[in-house]
Amino acid sequence: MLNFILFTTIVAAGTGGELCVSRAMKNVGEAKSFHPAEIATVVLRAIREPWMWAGVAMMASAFFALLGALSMYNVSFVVPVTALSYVAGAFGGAAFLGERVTARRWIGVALVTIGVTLVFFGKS
Amino acid sequence: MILVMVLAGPVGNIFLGMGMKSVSPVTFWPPAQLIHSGMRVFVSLPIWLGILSLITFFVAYMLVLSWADYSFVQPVSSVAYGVVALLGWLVLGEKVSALRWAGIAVICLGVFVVSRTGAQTTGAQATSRPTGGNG
Repeated sequence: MLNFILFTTIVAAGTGGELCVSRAMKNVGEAKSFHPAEIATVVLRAIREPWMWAGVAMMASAFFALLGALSMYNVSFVVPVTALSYVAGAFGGAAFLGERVTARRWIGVALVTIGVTLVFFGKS
Repeated sequence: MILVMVLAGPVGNIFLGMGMKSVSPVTFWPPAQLIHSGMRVFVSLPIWLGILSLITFFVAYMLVLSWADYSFVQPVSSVAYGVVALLGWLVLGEKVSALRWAGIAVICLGVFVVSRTGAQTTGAQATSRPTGGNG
């Protein structure tokens, strides 16, 4: 049960956080160079985005759940399981954002699920 | 920047794994026990190195996302699953079974297939009004 809660938090909060951060960065706009001043400007603009804060909060929750999971299992087991976020992304996109998920994308999602299942059974 | 992203993420996870292994399994109840574990995590050097690596990863990731599509960044970052397993095996001496390697390979393949559909979905999104987010 605890494992279930931990992995669910890692996947759900992680994916939600990434989507929020992605949205925030699209609002901030493109970083035109990797000049330190330019990077500083982008970072300063990013921290004024509410979406950024929502994303960071979710990612922080996912991070603590990750630490909990890592204290119990190997890194090479925990990290592949977090790939379930692609599955969560597809379902979340379809359910909450009304995105049309193509057949091909479902095939990809199925492959990720199969991969994670193999990783689970390969747990020694 | 993409290279930084693909390397810093796994290195960070490896450090975290290293740190958390030395802390021993976290007990979540009673709360005093959790706070005790939390304090030990807080003073662990590998944990801080891991956090530093993950911050590096995060900055690189943000910079890449500012010019690249999420659907392009996804398959590229899936390489990180392979890197994590490789480092876990080499650095932490974790036993990675053949079945697990196969699983990781299938995950990467799946991420690749998912990303190939990216252009279509963004095209469809561009015509419709962006939804969600007022909840």
